[in-house]
Formats: sequence, structure tokens, C-alpha cells
Amino acid sequence: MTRRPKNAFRLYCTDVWAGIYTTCVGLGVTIRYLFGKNVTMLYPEVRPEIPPTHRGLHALDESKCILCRLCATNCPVGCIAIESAGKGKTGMVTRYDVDYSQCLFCNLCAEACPTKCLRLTEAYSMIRGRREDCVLRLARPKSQSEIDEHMVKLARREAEKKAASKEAPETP
Amino acid sequence: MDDIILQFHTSAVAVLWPLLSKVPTWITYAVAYSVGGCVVLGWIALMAIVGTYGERRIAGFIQVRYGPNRVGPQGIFQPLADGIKLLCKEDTVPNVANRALFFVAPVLVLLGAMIPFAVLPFSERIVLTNMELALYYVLAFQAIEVIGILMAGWGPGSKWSLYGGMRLAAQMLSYEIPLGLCALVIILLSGSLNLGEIARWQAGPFLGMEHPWIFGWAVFRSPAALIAFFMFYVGGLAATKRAPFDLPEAESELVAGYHTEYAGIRFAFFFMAEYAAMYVVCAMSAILFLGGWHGPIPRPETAEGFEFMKTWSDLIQAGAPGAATFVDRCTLFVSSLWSVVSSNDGIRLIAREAIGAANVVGKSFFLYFVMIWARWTFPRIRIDQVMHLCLKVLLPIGLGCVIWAAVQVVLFPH
Amino acid sequence: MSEANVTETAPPASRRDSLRTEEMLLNMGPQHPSTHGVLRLVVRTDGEMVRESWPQIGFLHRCFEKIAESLPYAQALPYADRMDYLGSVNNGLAFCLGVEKLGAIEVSERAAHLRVIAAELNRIASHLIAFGTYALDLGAFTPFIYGFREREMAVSILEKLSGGRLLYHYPRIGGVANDLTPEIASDIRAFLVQMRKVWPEYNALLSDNQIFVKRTANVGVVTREQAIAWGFTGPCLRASGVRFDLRKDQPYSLYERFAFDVPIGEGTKGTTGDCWDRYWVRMVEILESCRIVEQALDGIPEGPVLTKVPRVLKLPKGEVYVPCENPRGELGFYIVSDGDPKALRIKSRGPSFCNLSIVNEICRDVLLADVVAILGSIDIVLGEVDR
Ligand code: SF4
Ligand code: SF4
Repeated sequence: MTRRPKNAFRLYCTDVWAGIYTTCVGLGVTIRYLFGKNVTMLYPEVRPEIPPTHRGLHALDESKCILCRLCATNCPVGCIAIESAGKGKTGMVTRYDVDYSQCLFCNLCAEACPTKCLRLTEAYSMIRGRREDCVLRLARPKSQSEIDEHMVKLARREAEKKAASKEAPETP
Repeated sequence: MDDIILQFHTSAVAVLWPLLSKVPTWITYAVAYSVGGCVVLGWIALMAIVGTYGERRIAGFIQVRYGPNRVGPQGIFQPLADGIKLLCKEDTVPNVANRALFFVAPVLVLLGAMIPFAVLPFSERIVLTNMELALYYVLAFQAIEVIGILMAGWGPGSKWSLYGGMRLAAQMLSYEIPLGLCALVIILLSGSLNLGEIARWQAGPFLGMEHPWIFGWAVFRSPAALIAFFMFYVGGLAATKRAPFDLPEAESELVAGYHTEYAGIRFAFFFMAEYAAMYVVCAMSAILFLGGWHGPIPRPETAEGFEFMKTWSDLIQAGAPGAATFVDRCTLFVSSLWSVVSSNDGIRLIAREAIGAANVVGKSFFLYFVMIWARWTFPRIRIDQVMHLCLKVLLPIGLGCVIWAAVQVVLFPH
Repeated sequence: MSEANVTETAPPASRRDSLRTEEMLLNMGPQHPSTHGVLRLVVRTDGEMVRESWPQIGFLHRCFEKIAESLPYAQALPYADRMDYLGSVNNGLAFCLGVEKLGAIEVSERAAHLRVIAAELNRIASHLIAFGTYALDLGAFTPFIYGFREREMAVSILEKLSGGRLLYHYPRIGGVANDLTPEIASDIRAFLVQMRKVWPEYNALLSDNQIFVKRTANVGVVTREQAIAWGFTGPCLRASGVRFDLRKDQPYSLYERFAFDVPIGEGTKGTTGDCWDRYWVRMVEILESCRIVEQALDGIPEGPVLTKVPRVLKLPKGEVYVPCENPRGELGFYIVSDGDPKALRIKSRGPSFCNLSIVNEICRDVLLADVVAILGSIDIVLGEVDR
């Protein structure tokens, strides 16, 4: 047993008094907020303002992409998958998938992109019911004929180039 | 209510359907009580609905957010949606459960919460049973709920539930005593255990006033009663397991306490019981300490009431001449309305009872609101502190109050 | 001690002959409302009294160290953020400081100031969560929401600054990701004003509340010696009366330039080193952090915010450890490099992990409700305990 302190009764009284007093103070704080303004918003109708720096879903400007694949190599989790018809500036992006079930939203891909055609946008809501649906296809879907056409065009251009370079030394 | 039934049986029924007067009185009684019981059940359900909605909405505003506001205008149908959800939920029973206890517990808990409604007056006449020992009865039958919760603690075979049940047992031992002492203060002062008598006593003469209106309330009749009121309320918080005394269901410690393993409609039973019990405690406080069905201002039909109205209008006339005509007109309107109403005995009775019921329910709801307000303000007390509070703080003060009340009754009998 | 031993433990002899009582083995967690994540506490109880409790960790293990060793430094950085997700800037900062020290990478003064601002804002946000969840542990709901209301402001500022709302990835090797704009600066000032305005309200609502004081004062007392012996750091250590703060005692990132006090527990409401002291040190630190942010904002020089580092960063052979004051205590990454673009070994020393180790020592012969109070006052983040 601990020894009973001398001023036990005074301690007891101050205790009770503190209990009553702080109770009233606490109630005073909450009642003021009861009539105050709410700080939350009615979400689907009122949307929060997203700053432009926000790192949300990716957006790709296909026409500017030079297929350097720096974004994919700089991604810590490797969740970017790129497929292309052709290479470099003339290549066509046939597939540019980002797997959001893995993405860290770290912005390293966008920072690595030399042409700044990849950007993390303000879009934040992405609700999917299945894991497979978490993969977003950023490149415009292309039909097989379109790809073939592009390949033919590339081949023709290549051939022209080759022909030109072959002819070039002979002209003078 | 007995006299109303009797009156109804002998007069109204006889006039409307002479045949019915041949019916023996006990059948009328049986029918009347069944109807009354259903009304009480409906009232409990309404309490649960208003309680959950009010609780969540008030909590929302206190926490600077909205609370439920989607189902129906301002979310008023949210409790119905919740109820439907609870009804549709799977009724799970743990494998290790003691099935008998598991099934009986929620019923017993709800029963315990419902029993006090049998004697709880809503107004002078609107009471199911005008029992002489009503106060004693209410305090005694509160224990049924505790038994139910102990069963709910043991039945499911969950350790968390067991803790909840044991905590409630410990808590009950501590709050029952101060609660009883606070009631004893009123019993001493009023000299009755009948809730109706106690309420009537609070309109009786006091300090030379024949109709003391607000000063007739028990809390103003004696400082002992004022302190007892606050203590009764705190004890009531403990009795209804409301924060800061919600240890039996402390969700941050015991997951959900005694109803951890309950789902669906059985859980809803616990829920309804809690809100019904809250109403009982609030209504009891209102009846015992806050004048029952007597309003803060006197009724216009009494002499004081007339005086009051007149002084009031005089005062306003003196202060603001512009408003005088309007106020005068209002006063006139009210008194003329009253004279019309009071001209017919039946209407007069109904009006009186309606005002009385509004008083009781209004006061109870205010106390109800304070309970919710407190819940969203305070942290939870620890079990040893509950006992400390009840047995070392409330008990001595309660004893002091009882002694004061006894001395007051002896020295200043009315 | 293993669980098998526990169940066999007999009840104390004094009780055995009078009334048969049983001790109970209770599993708190991993799905328990107040274990702050997925901690499992195996608790041996005698009625409401807790006789012993063993924390079992590892439910949130994500192989941070191994992943960080298999990635280039710049790419390992976002993972460091994810260790202690409530103090993300501070974590990234610790990692960056380590890499920068080994690679002798210069950081501009502006970047250092920005790091301090972001780290302190993050500290405030983290302490606000600690405040709120502690209230929640003790059964008060409203302070939690109020804490989140102010935290939301801090988080919005950090979002504008870095782009993330929880995992900021703001400090980078060689500086910080984005520069401060005047708009953000004015937001920060508005936040500081608001924070100082509501701080007394928090105290009125919770800190001084008699119920709260009764629940926390004299509960879970950690003496000065115990705190040092068990490797306490951060607010927990300071609450035990040791004035040790890495920002003062081993300044990094220009912390030596800012004037601020290091609050220590004084046993105001009970004994030095009790739960209330630990809580209070955090509350006072919120104000101190406000002071630091203000000074950093006033004294911020112009300049670049990110030093150019080679795309494939190779650190020289060697090893480094830079400790850093996380909201929860000393956080440091021990990095061993053998000259590759990837580290040979990364070992993290986290405060939550070390602070958690004392649980069995102080959660002994206390009430079940006190276990929750003690655990909350230590303020652990399971993401960092489990890595
Ligand atoms: S944001 Fe990060 S994780 Fe996501 S795709 Fe880009 S680099 Fe990969
Ligand atoms: S880094 Fe940019 S340009 Fe290169 S492949 Fe990715 S998106 Fe295209």
C-alpha cells in the first residue's frame, strides 16, 4: 500500500473540480463547432481542386514520343510496357501500357522523358473491379492494317533513302 | 391510463356503439393494453431511428463534416436503409458459441430496455401502468439488461465478448449505487415512489407560491436535488454504456465488446436496446428532476398563468410600444384559443395531455442531445476509474445529498 | 518466449488455493482497431490485468532493403518514402543525405531550405495524426477529425509542392523535385497561422481533459535509463527527460541555422516519461516545427533547387550512415557501395522498430486499456517496423 499523502483530501477535491471544469471546457469546444461551417465537401458533386503538380494517371503525347524507352528503364517497378512498329522518331507506338496495380506514381518516368511527351496528370480517380483492368492503354489502339501500312511506308522510305544514298556517290 | 380506459369504456363506447358496452371490461382493458404495448414498441423503434440519425448527424456537425445526407432529404431515411441492411445480413453464429445463451441474449437485452416503458409516463394520463412502486420497478428491472449482456459476453465464446460482459458487470456494481441514492433524494423530498406523484409534486406549492412553475422543479427545490440530478445523469450515462462510460463495447480496446460476434438483426436488437435505454434514462431524469410534464411557464388556465401572461405583455408594452399590438394580439389569441379549447372537457384533456407529452419528450430529447454531445467530446474512462468515480466520488456526494434532503424534509416540511 | 511456454504458465500461487482463476492468452491484432496497422500483440492476461505482451511483427514486410539493393539509387528513393508513410519527406531526406554524403554531391542552399520546410510540414502532419489516432485509441473521436482538418492543409501544401498527397517523393538526390512558388509560400503562412490558432483548442479538448490526463499520466512510465537502454529516440526519448534531438545535436540540412527549442518531458501531469509526456512532447513539437518553417521561409535564398547528377549515379566505394530526425525518432540508412550504380547493402535503422521493442517491458501488470494507451503513445508506423 502506498502511504496516504497528507493533503489527500485537497488532492481529491482539486481532482473532482478539474474533472468538472475540463468537462465543461471540452463541451464548449465541440458545441462551437456544432454550429460552425463544415470543412468537408460533398464529393461527387463538388470536386476538390487538384494542383497541376499532382502526380496522377499518365498522359502520353504519342506524336512526340521518340520510342527511346527511357521511361520504361527508369521506372522502379517496370510497369511500363512499350511496343512499336519501327524505331526512333519514325516509329509508331502500337502499345503503351501502364500497370497501375504496380505504379508508384513517382514521376521518374516523366522526368526521364527527353521530349516531355509523358506527363503525370491531375486525374486521380481510377476505380477498377479486376486486377487486369488496372492496366491502362495510353496509346491509341491501332488496327493491324494501320500497322502494316506504317511498316510498308517505313520500308518504302528506307528503300528510298538507301537508293538515294546509293545513287548519291555516282552522280558527280 | 386506467381511468381513461374506463371513461372510454363507459362513455364514448357506449355512445358510439351501444353493443360494445356489453363487452366485459377486461376485454377492453386487454385490447387497450395491447394497443398501448404496440405504441410503446413503435416508440422504441422510433427512438432507435431518431437516435441513430440524430447521433450521426450531430456527430457530423460537431466534427465539421456532414454526416449521412444521401438517403432521402438530408439523409432522414438513412436509419431505414441501415435497418434493411441489417435485416438482409447473414445471421452468423460462431462454431464455439453456446447457442442457447447466444440466441437468448439479444432478446433479453431488448426486453430489459423495454420493461421500463410500462411505467414511464409521457404525460399525466398517458402512462401504461400507474404503478405505486414505479421508480423502484425501473431501477430494479434495469438489471435484466445486464444479465442479457453477461449472456452475450459468455455465449459467443469470444474473448473480446467476455471482456465486454465482465466489464459491464463491474461497471453495473459501481453505478447502481449512486443511481439509487440520487433517486432516494427525490423519494425523500417528494415522499413517493410513484412517477406520476413525483411529477405532480413538482407543480405543488413551493416558497409561498401556489403554482411555482419552473421553480417548482425538483432541481430548484433543493440543492441536494440539483447535485443529484447531475449525478443521476452521469450514472445514467454509465447505465446506458454511453461514452465516456462505453467500456463494455470500447471499440479501440475490445473490438466491439459484447456484441463483437453478433451480426444482422441480432446486432440491431442491441442497438435498439441502447437507444431505448438512453431514452429511458433521459425521460427518468426529466420526470424526477426537471418537472416532468410541467412546462417552465405556467399554464394559462391557472391564476398564476394569467398573471404571468399579463405581466409579460405589460413588460413588452412598456419596452417596445411598436411590438405591443402584435404581442397583445398573440396573447389574446392564445388565451382565446385556450378558452375555446377548455370549453370542451374532452378537447381540454387532449390538449393538456399533448402539452404535457411535448414537455416530457422535449426535455428528454434535450438530455438525449447532451448525451450525444458528450459522446463526441470525451475520451473513454478506464474501468478502475469508473469504479473510482462511482464509488469514491459519486457515492459520498450522493450520501451527502440524501442526508441534506432528509434534513430539509424534516426541517422544512411543506 | 514462444507461445507454447505461455499457455503452460500457471496462475500465481496466492490465487490458486482460494479461487480457481485462469490466465488467458489474447491475440490483439493483426486485425485490431488500435494496433496502428497490422501489429500482432500476444497478450497474457489475468482478468483485466495484462501480465505480459509480445509484439509480433512482419505482417507488412515488403522487402524494402532487398528492393533498394536491386535498384539504382534514384529509383530506390520512392521505396524509402514508403517505409514510414506518415513521415515520407523525412524518410526520403535521410536516404538522400546518405547518398549525397557518399557521393559528395552538393546541395544548394535553396534546396536545403526547401527540404527543411517540407520535412517540418511533414512532421506537423505526422504529429497531427499521432494526436488524432491517440485520441481515437482512448475513445475520443472528435480530436481525430480536427487533427485531420489541419493535416489536410499541410498535405495540400505538400501536394502543391511535390505532387503527392501521402508519398511525396520530394527530396531528390541533389536537391528537391519542385521549386517553391509565392502562392505556396502564402499557403504555408496561412497554415502556420491556423495551426497556432487551433493548437490551444486541441489542448482544451484533449490534452488538459481530466479523463485524458487520468488515462495517460503515470501510465507506461519509461525512465531515463530505460529509454536509453532500449534505444529510444525521438519524442519518446525526449519525453523521458533526455534532451537529444538530431536536428540540434548533429545538424543536417542547415538545421543549425534555425532557432528552436527541444521540448522534453517534465512529468507535468504525472511522472516523467509517462504516456502524457510522450503525447505532450509531440504537441509542443508541432509549435516548434511551425517556428522552423517560418524561419526557413523567411530566410530562403534564391538559387537552383536540383543539382545535376549523372543519370547513372555511381557512388564511390565505401559506406555511410547519416542519421536524421524523423517524426518518430532517429532514422538512418546505412549504405555500402562497391562502386556499382546499385548499393551493395542498404540497412535502415528505423525509430518505430526500436521504440516498439520496449512494449513487453512496460506493458506488464497494466490494465488492458493501458496497453492501447501505451502503444498509441509510442506512435509506431507499422510500415517502418516491418520495412
Ligand atoms: S510513375 Fe513511377 S512507377 Fe509509375 S510508371 Fe512512372 S516511373 Fe513507373
Ligand atoms: S521516355 Fe518519352 S519519348 Fe521516350 S519512350 Fe518514353 S514516352 Fe516516349
